[in-house]
Amino acid sequence: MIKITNLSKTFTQGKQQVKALKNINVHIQKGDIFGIIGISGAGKSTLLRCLSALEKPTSGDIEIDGISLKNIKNGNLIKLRKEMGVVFQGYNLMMQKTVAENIAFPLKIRGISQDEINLQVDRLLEIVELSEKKNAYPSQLSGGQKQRVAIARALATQPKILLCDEPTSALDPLTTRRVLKLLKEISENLGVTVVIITHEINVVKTICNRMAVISGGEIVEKGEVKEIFAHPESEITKLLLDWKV
Amino acid sequence: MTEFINQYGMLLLKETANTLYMSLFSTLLSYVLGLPMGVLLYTTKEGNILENKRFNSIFSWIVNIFRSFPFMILIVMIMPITRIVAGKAIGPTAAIFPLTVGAAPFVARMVESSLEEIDKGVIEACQCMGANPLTIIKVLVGESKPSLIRGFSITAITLIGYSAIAGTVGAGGLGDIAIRYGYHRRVESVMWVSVILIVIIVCLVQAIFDKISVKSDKRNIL
Repeated sequence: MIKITNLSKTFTQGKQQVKALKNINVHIQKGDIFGIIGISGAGKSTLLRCLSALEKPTSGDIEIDGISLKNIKNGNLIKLRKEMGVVFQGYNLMMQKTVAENIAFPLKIRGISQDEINLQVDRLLEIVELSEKKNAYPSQLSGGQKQRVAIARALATQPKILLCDEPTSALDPLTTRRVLKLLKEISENLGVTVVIITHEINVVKTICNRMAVISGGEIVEKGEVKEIFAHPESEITKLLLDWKV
Repeated sequence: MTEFINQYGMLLLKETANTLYMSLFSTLLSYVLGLPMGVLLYTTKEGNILENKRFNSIFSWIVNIFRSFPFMILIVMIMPITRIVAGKAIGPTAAIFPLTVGAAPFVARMVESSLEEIDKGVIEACQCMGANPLTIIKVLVGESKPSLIRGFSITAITLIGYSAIAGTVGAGGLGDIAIRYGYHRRVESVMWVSVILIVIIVCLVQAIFDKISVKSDKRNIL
């Protein structure tokens, strides 16, 4: 589903070169709930920005559903974006639009008829259990509710992939569990491949089946979650798992 | 009192109307020019959706140059152009042109700073959903609406002040009679009434737009 090959990203800040990502190789399969975990500054966000095509890799390539992001044409990129929903840590909702208008946005820009949009919005609101908040504004919602609206919006185009950048980092433990449960249901019921970037080991433990540990811009460990939790190899993984090292 | 109203009432009424006419139309027209200018200033900046460093720095300079002209000098300097555009260089209608030219760069900066307030994350979310630059600009304008409305009231009030300056070089309006009667003819009562009328207009504009801005801001709904 997602194939990251020899991906590197270097930022130039004045005369200094910062290597944010070094030779990343990850293969995410259809139906995976894939966790990419690392501490702050490990390169997680850069990786997600490359995956969501907001950032161009310095070298290497990302293939999504068989389409290479390298030298992708604008028209194809728009098509690809339909297959990829993105959820952000800060929700990134439009504050002057209602919940329904926010969810309708990705459909509206694709010129879908208002009748069809209404139908879809109602369906999505049911999935995230927020039907009663349809005409509310984001400022009237709690953090967890806002994130559920953001998830509904990301699902609006019926994507095959859901990219989540620290989706629960701004939420309390109880709300976190609820959002994670929702992501798991989405993966199971809609067959969506979910990629979660996080620094919380509990997120990976709760819903991911496969994972990769990123540190200093490199993947230090990857594989089945069960395996890695039972036999962590790298120091950083042990640290994240709170093993005594 | 009655004598004052009989003598100057009609004059004050007419010039109040002229002040309102000049400031209203120049505010509207300065937005027709300034809003796209502000959007360009913002979107072509480094890291923004239509990034173009060279265009941005040149355009920014042009805006700065026009903003630094003292308004009085601008009026006189562009008089030949005013004559072509408005057909004459004197009177309230003719004054709308220099007022608009003077305010448009100011509006551009106001619009730019309103757009600057929007969380960059919202733009990224739009890009991820496949929105084109035009759609993103629409979102930006929609999201900064309350701030844009506040900017509009600041511009309107600035232009009421500018129209009084324009009044001294033949534009008419309350500023004109304040100078002509108060200073040249020493009829201080007319000057005071003109000033009070300007104060009332400014306060009303501010109060009305504050209300509209707060009402339009969906972040205030609880």
